[in-house]
Amino acid sequence: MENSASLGASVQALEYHYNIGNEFYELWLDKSLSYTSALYRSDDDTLEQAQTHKVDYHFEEIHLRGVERLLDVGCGWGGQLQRATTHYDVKHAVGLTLNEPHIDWIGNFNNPRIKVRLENWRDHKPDEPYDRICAWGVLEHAARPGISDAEKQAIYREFFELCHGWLKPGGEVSVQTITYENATRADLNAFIEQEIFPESDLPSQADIVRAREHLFEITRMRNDRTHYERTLREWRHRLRANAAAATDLVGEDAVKKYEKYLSLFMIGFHTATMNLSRFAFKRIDTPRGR
Amino acid sequence: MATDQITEANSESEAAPAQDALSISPDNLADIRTWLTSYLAFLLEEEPGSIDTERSFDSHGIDSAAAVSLVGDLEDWMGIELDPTIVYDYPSIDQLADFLMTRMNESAA
Repeated sequence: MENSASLGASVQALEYHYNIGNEFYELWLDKSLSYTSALYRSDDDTLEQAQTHKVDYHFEEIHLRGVERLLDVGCGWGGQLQRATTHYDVKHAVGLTLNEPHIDWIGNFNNPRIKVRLENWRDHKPDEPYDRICAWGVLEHAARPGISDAEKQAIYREFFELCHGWLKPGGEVSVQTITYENATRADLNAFIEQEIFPESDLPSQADIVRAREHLFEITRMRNDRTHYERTLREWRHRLRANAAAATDLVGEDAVKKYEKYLSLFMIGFHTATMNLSRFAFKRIDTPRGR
Repeated sequence: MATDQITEANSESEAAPAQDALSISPDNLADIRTWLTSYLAFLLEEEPGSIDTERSFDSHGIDSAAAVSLVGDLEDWMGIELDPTIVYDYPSIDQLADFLMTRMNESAA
């Protein structure tokens, strides 16, 4: 089998999506630049409120308050690292990202409790073990289209094995990912694969459930595709409202491409082709068979 | 996402769906139905008279990418913001035309 790092999306593939620049994303994401599904608690929630609800939901599910060390795999623009330290009294919050613009953005927080590394999760070697880990919007990029089901499963297994090794006994993990629902790998839209998220394939819920066996127990799982649809509707609306500024920044073609992708994802969640799965896991400290 | 079909290529061609044939205004239900029928006929390279307005868009071969293009062209024509998902909630020309007429009346009110 190939090295698993070559079976997921490459740095270049992720840069293709994210290195379009912070200013572009500032035009249509919420103020924290959270680029995964929000969690709406009421019809009146704004995107900003719903993104905060998402962060709080995950942090409460993994009992984050007051712990010493948090690892955020795929930390994006670091909004959750900031909230972990300011609202949950986490002493050391470490973020991993593959994208330079994220590092620049987080650096501007000037928050001494936050460290961010330009590093693939497969290469991460923690200085000390962690109490908690979160990984939101990561497993979507872990496997490439075209690899075998066995290779794909091995990648997700590796993710949970690494998390297990990085955690202290009793540690907990929060995962949020888009999953296949009423679709197969062959249904992945060519536009999304080639133009938006190159080299990225989705997991199924079963992939994740299988991959954590004997390493983590699932303490909570919920599917929230309607929340992602609503998040995307808001992003699309904001992008359109700021179309002139966005076009100045990245050009008309890029704006149209993003608008199309947001629309396609709305349809994907609306029709249950895809789902948005949120998991909480608790480390099994004495795995059988080891 | 539905698998790509030939309709996506057609829907993104330079010659946007039959602009000449679609130079009507969205003033009433019959015109909206005519616009949708002409649009579909252009995509499918068929005569408008042969389009079954009760048949689902899906059975006509309209995939998700074609649905996004259709809704984008509808927004340009009608001057209102629409969700791309309406093609799935109102999955035939007749059903979608009824919905769009309601939306036009609401936005005019």
